[in-house]
Amino acid sequence: MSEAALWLAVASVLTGTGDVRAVLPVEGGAWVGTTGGLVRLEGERERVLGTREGLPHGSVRALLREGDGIVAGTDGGVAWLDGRSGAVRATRRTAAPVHALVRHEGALFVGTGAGLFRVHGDIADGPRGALERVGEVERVQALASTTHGLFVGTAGEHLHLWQGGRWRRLWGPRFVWAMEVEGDTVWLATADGLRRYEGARRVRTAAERTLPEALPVRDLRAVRRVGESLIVGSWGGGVHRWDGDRWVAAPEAGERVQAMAVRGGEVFVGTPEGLRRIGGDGAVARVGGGLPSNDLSALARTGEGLWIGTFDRGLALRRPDGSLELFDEARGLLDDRVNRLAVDAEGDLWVATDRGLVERVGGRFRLRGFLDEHVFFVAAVGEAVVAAAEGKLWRWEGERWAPFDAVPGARPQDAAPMGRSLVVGSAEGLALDTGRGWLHLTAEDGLPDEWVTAVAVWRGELLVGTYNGGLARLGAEGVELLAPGVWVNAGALVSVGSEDGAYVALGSLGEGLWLLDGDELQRLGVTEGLPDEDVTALLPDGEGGLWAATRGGLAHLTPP
Amino acid sequence: MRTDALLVCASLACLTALPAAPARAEEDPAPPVALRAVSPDGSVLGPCPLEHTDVRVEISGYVARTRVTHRFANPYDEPIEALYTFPLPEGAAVRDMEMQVGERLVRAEIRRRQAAREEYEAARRSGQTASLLDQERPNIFTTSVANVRPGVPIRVTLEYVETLPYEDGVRRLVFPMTVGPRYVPGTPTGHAGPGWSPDTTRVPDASRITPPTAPPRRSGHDIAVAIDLDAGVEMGPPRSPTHDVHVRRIDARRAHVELAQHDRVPNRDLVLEWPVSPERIASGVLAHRPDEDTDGYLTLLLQPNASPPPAEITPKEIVFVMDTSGSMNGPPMAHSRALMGRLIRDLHPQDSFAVLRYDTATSALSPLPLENTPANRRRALAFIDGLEGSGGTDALAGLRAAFAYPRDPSKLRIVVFLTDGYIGNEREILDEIQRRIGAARLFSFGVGSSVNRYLLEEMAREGRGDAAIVTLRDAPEEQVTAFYKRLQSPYLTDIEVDWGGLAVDRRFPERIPDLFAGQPLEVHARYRRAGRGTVRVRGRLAGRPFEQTLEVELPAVEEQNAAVASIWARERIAEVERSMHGGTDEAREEELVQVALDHRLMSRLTSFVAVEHRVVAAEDAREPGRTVTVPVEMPEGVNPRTAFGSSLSLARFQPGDPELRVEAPATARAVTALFPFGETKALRWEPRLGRWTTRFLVPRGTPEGNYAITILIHLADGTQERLERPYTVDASGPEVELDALDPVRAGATVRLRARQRFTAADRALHRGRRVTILSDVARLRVTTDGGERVALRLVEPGVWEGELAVPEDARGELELRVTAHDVAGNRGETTVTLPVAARAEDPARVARSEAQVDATGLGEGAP
Repeated sequence: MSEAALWLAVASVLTGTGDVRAVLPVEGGAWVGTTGGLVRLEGERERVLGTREGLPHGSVRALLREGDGIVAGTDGGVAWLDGRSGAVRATRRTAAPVHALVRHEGALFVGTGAGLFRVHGDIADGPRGALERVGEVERVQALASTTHGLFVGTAGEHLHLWQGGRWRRLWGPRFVWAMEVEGDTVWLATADGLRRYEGARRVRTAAERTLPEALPVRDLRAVRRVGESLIVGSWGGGVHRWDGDRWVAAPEAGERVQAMAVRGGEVFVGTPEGLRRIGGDGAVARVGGGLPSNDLSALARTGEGLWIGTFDRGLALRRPDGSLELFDEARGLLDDRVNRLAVDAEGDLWVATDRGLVERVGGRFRLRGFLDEHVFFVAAVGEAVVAAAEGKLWRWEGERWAPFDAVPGARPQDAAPMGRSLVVGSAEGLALDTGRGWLHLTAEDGLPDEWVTAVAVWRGELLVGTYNGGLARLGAEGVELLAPGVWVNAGALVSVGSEDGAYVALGSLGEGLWLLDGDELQRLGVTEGLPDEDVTALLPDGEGGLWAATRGGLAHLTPP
Repeated sequence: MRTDALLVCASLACLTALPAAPARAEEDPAPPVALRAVSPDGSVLGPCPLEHTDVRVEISGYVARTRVTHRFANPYDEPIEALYTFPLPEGAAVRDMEMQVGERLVRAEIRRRQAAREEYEAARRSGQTASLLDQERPNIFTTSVANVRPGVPIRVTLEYVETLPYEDGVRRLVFPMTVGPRYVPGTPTGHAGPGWSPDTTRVPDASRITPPTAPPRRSGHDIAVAIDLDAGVEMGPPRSPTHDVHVRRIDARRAHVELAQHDRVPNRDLVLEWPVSPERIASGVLAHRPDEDTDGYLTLLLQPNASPPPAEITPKEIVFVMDTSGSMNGPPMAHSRALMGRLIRDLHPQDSFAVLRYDTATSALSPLPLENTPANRRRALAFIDGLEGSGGTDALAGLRAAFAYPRDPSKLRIVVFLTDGYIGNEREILDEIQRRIGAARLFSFGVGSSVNRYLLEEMAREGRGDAAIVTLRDAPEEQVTAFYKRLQSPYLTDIEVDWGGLAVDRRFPERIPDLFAGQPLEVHARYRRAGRGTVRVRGRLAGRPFEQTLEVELPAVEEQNAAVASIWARERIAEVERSMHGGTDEAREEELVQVALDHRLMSRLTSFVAVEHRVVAAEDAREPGRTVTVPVEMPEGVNPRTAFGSSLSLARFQPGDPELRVEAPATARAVTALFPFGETKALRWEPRLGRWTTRFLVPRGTPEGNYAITILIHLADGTQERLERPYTVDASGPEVELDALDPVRAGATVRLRARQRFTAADRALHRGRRVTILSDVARLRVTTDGGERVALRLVEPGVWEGELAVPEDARGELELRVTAHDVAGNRGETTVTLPVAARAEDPARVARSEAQVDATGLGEGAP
């Protein structure tokens, strides 16, 4: 990798902060963990912290107050932050997302999908040493510190109690999402409803017995004690409060509860659609915004602005003034699962979804075919529009789709024009239309892997990205491997800049963004400010820069 | 990374989590989630509640009395029902059961099966702790324990007696420890039991003889075995070829044996052997008659007192019938190949032989028996070397092919049947043998850790042959030698017993099999009156008349030897069963029931039931205690991946982003998918599809292996359903082997055949699963170094064929590159070198050859 060349740097990141996973009320505001960053709410102001600010990952699932600072659990590790400035003081990386944090017996315990860890040291002095694995339990979702020991709730592995260095499996509910400690009592929010433990003993309560009758959904994700009341939040049934005799629904609290916190008489409810605050006076305030999802899948630009496709939350249009407009199934888009975007010669947007293909015409989305079919990609090839559906390659003939004849290979992944020819990458190699028939290239012909996920033309030569064989260049002298072993995301291969000074940008699965100049290479990942290491789509910005869609949000990269 | 979601969606049709949708038994039986027991509707019930099994054996001479105690515990916070399916020796006469709840001991009663079930169910409904013992097969039993309270262990003890076989100077005890997976043919008809397989038209109780399996060392319970051995005569050192045991000699006749602490995972049969010289085996009669007003029972044990003369060998025609089903893959197949190789190499010059193989189809090495020549032996050995385990087990077809195979009437036809016996339609097979054995003999050879001994020994019994079992830990050479000695020539044949006027009836076996050198004669009978007489045993010894006499006294009263009565009753019940030929006969069934009730014996139609008369589960009447089916260990050496035939797994893919579809009412409040590592996805209703759907990410770093999605369906009425849907992440390329079926000559067309070879990665991927992938190769291509390319086509599960034009200028060797892609898109590549014959007239060496023989048409062309 070249250290001298620095072609691009992350200039800005756009995420969505509506998917709230953790809430920590503080004086004058709250810290909110979302999949699009850690949000600091101060009155009406919001400030979003992400990887550019030093977080190990932008998706924050757990928060813990420690003195005047906070500890944030993210998908990439733990971060210790100054409570006022939000500056990251220290981090420790984890192999799996962090779901829970608690201080117990002087150490910080970190619950992750890959197990339970602990580290000593406090917020003032910072963590000492590395994270140390504790026990063999996995899929940790919730932690609670009590005088009887540390309760460890898991997703599918039941409940455990860590007592004096020894483990005890309490069995009981398989999925424990959250816990609330009240003296010797531990309340569990589980997929089977509410549970109460006194020490290691399960105790049945009236609130629990009436649960199946009173609550529409028993999959509880949060439980809190508020004064004399007990409040639970469920996945699909909203928030309910126990008044001693029955469960009372909290209105407009959102249906799918992912997190809950209490401050005084206020209850903060985190949902996939944002943060809601149920005040003492019953008022509801909604917080959250940005992109509809941080799991992005496609990019395109039309006269209306920058189009951003998401994995399963529809489409966002970022207008030149920076405002965002969202489109999903409820707002005219055929399907929320966007696979690819393309812009035809007339400047119209085409959207390939899991349930068909649409074109945006006159401000509306019109069905253009393959209703209820999975459309893997759509691409503009010169004057034509091609799409992959039903395992075949098709071309749009104005009123209908016509299949290409006898294209070798199967399951087309990407297509690009090369001169007057069409190049098609598929799960079974590369096909080139020579004008007199198709030429089929496979691993036997030197391709690093037969699963070709992306094709692009650069400096008159064909670039071929593969699933796990890396990036190759096909030239007059044969196949040359430019970047061995990297997994190239489907369609995530573009040439950037002018012909003379052009380089290639490659979006990889798990290894960030790659920029190649044939001789030189630059790699950017989370450390360099990308929101995620999975780069799913790329779009030159026309000014020497690049938009990069990732699974953690959208990055704009510009020359430094 | 976006994989081809269309392919994945189509491939993941099985991810549509359907509550209890029936399917063909041969295809994709619902696999368990690793470590968990699964109810027939697919919902996970929880961990195994069987904590421990304790086995105490008392051996006296040739009779063993065994007490097996299962200890159950409840890890939940509410009462549960435990269901546990386990094996016992097929000759076991189960004659007692008791249940201990805390400090209370309840002795079970023997009842008609239906009555016992009704009593049990009534107790269960009313909250009483109860246990029920049912016989599913002569060697498979199920214990049901209702209302197991949290924190109160329950022990269920059963007792059985059996006689122990003796051969080649060794007496042997076999204690089976796990039930092997069974191939279940037929069309599903329902799912009455807790097992993984539905009931089918050919195996109506399949759901009761197919317990879920657990990955090795992870079922959570162990077993302790202690044996008090009194051989009755001087014996050699006891040993176990299967387990590590501690032996403490008490004196020359007695020893105490215990299973070693580290060897307590119940995943293979326990075998204990002790040498006893034939001269020390005394002939005699053991009798039992509790009083003068009841029947007495006896066991006649006779050790032939003649030494075998020099061999006068009858020419034999040996037909080897080899099981090549999926469950044979791996060590069982290797052992079978070793056995057959040894047998073929040691044939007598005047013997002839044939080799047949079967799984779901049959084929033969040759259409007619082959003379025992070096060339034919080489051909046979090459054929055997090429056999692999795949497909289901259609043993009936294999048998029929063997019986229909052309024969030489001047030779003694011996059918040697090699299998692990993992099949469920035993009745059909035994009936076939009974109908068609004629003058032939049938020997069965079982290979594996937990073979179906009942089936194998019944096959040998019907075929007047013998059975041998080789565990995976045996050195096959020893077993082969012993087996072949018996095969060479029976020692004592055409045996008859003249009881000399004694009032003896109901004798078993009715048709006494041939005996081999060193093997004693064992006959069980009933007597109505006391008496004294001379018993004569007649037969032919190496073709010459033989007679041996024994003075016998049948006592009027003999309170000792009660096991003799149980053993006789067991034989009687088995004889009545055989007489029904798998059908029903009211009179015979009533007779069977009466024998079982009179002798307090388990049978197909009688069960033990014990009820503790105290209510334990009065709360939550709306929520009866959940049922947990105890998983059993997969037998050692069985590749769970290939145990069940040719169905392709449909939930197998590379890391990517597949789609999940769930059948649930449109009115459901929520349908939620819980993925490994805690990720939750809300599914949404798609009206056009009529399904709830979502798509999810399988991250690149996900290790290969089996995972499960938990699906919660919150219905409009407030109830919640839970489903589990497993899937597999696979990132390894397949490996294949390639052979040429024709001589490889320059300019000629050669037929190629390829088979997938399952790697350690494949086995690791499916360890613990019962869903098997016979072959997951989706595409196979062969390329020469000159660029000639041919795509092979699938001709049968796991077998691909195609034709390649050999270049005209090919000389010396032809190098072929074989590229295989599996259904998950992984690619594997290998290079094969084939020798090229320089001239067309040169006889090129044939790597493999095989003749397809129609099982019904083998009569044509007989000599």
